[in-house]
Amino acid sequence: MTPLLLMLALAAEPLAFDLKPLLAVGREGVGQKEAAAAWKKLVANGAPALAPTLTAFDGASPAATNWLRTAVSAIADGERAAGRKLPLDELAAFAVEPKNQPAARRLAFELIAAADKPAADALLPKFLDDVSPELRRDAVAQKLIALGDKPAAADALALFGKARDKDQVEAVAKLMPEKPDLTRHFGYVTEWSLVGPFDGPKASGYAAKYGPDAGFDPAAKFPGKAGEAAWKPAQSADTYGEIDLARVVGKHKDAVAYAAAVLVADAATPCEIRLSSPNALRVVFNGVELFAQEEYHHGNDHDQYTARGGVLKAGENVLVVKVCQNDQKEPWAQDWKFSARVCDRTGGTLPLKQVVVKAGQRQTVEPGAVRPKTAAELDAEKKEKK
Amino acid sequence: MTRVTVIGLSLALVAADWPGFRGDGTAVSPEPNLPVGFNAATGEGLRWTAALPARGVSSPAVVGDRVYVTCSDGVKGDRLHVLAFDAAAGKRLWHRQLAATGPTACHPKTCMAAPTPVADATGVYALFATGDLAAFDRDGSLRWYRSLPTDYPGLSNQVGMAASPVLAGGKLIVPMDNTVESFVAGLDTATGANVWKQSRPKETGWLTPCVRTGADGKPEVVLPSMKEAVAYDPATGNKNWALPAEANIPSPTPAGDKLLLCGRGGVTAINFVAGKPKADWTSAKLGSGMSSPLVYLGRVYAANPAGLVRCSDLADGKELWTERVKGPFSGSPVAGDGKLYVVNEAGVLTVLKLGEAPEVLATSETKEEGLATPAVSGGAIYLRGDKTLFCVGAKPGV
Repeated sequence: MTPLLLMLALAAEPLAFDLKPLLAVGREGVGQKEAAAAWKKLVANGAPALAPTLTAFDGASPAATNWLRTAVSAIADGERAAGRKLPLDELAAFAVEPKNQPAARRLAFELIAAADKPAADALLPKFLDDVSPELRRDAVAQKLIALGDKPAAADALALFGKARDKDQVEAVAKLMPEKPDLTRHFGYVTEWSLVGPFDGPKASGYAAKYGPDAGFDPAAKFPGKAGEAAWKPAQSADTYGEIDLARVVGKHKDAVAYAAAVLVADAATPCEIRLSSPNALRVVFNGVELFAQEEYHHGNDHDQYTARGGVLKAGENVLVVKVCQNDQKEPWAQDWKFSARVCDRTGGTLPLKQVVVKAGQRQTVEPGAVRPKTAAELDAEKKEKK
Repeated sequence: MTRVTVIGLSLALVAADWPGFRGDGTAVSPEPNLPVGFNAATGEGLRWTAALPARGVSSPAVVGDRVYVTCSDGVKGDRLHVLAFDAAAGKRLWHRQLAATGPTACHPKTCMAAPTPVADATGVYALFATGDLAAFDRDGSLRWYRSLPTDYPGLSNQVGMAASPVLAGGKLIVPMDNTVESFVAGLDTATGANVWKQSRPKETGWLTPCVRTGADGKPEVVLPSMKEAVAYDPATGNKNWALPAEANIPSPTPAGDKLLLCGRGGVTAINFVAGKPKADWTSAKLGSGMSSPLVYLGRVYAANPAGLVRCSDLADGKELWTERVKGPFSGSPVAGDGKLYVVNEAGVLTVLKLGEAPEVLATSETKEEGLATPAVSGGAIYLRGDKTLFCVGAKPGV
């Protein structure tokens, strides 16, 4: 059954349930009693309630989505316990329809996989370009196995373009005869202007306002913690775009630094800004704060944070990251660093360029070309290791 | 709560519920005839085993004929599972899934299924390290669900939250100590709505509050932090008392009219004079790193990360004996039937017969990760591996 026919069939069927109470749950427990009653009625309908429940994921709040998700698993449990088969064809039609909500499509796929693994495997190639990270991941994993140890270069390159998760990207990269540019693939911002340090006693810097909060003016100078502070260019030489502030700005405690980058887009495009840092962060994109997290030294994973809601405008866009260091004294709490990448909602590359100033001249360059480390940087690393 | 359970036709026993992390918070079971060991390869000594869909470091909770377990998986650790098993035979009764709505970053040793669920006769309350909190009826119906990170943005502990909720005075007490949006709340168990919410120090904490009987004969919830230990009235959230403390990992333990607080200085026994707390003795040796100590028959038992089990007198804290067993431990020891049960990180269960000198009765291996604290109920010890739930005990009819 096509999705359209499925929807028509559902529209013709009288509904013995009301999804509205599930979708209306609010913050701090609002609407739970009504939702619980509606949930029971919904689940009691069995398999016919699956498609409308999955469809209702679209636009539902995170809390409402979990009401719907548990209903789907309860319906599936009930059908299995009753010895009835799930409507796998309808679920497959729902799963492959890209207009449906990604998490709901994934859930439909998992119901298929639990009932008929070969049928689910047969669907996977359709998900190589999927916006659902889990569907895409499984599709890439399947293709990776199919490629074997020595795939044709063109096949490996094609799969590299599909992969989004760091482990899969690295696994495909190993199969490629020519080493791909991972920095570019992930869309890491490599060209920055930095200013700091600013004084933030007792970790007050996160909430405090400093001169750079007024906007990025490369010519501006500010009173800093260590005298006058001015924007200075910095380039990441790290594959994953890391900027080590402790090294570039200096080893400071209770301090704040700002990093600014100018990104050039050809056309207006929605984007995500994904960040990693063991320090507290505020992220301002084109003058709007998209993300803030006041947490220190609790890890530094790839794609640790995602700032959503950004839209690149055609032309120049300004990204400013405020990176705050606290006063913890433990050796593992001395890191003061961050990385940021600008990508589409799947984590994929966007065709961006960056503005840099070289010899007093503004230039637009391709980001992600990792330059070799200078002799001075290598010497400094050796000294640090000693 | 106790109940009569009939196993097969030959064995009837009084079964005590084990409703949450370390049971009722004492980590002690009143049941007799608890098992000694098992052989995972032959199945000897195992009542049943059940496959788990994913990893978790939370403990099983057992109430009535239900065993509740939480798990988490997914590339981002964002798939959350709540399962119910039949306590008698291990049949999976239901399995519900949630999607994380909060941060999932954590130390690799832990995961999002770190807080232990707490259960009562009506169902189970499952909290995850993401701040997702759901109440399910016994039959798996969703009673209510809270996305605490949506309600309180910024809530996060990227080392991985692990504090477990407890039930006290008819309220669900939810500890959320973290460096960003730190609080403890008392929730209506019927609707999940806040009855009260109190701010907490912005400090990371992993310990589970304990419930003790206060001066007025009513329950009070003790929740220490790195600044102070506070006793809350579970009905109102009002502070009954507070005293300085430095605690964030091992949990407090009620011990009759005393209370054990575990912190940087080791273990401190608190006496109560006219309802006011006063430190009695402190033992640095009883400091246990990750696991929480327990009090059983007038003695304090603690298992430190290196594999040393220490026994001290509750009256004065003086050490009575030590016994080296196979560590290290992340889970906490539990006691009952004159025995101490402790599981190491490699899933080796050591059973000590307690007395003037300890005696190792048995060591048994699950061959799976053993980071969770065991549960004790229905004449069985429940061990939670990363793939399997083990019910150690006599089979029906045996």
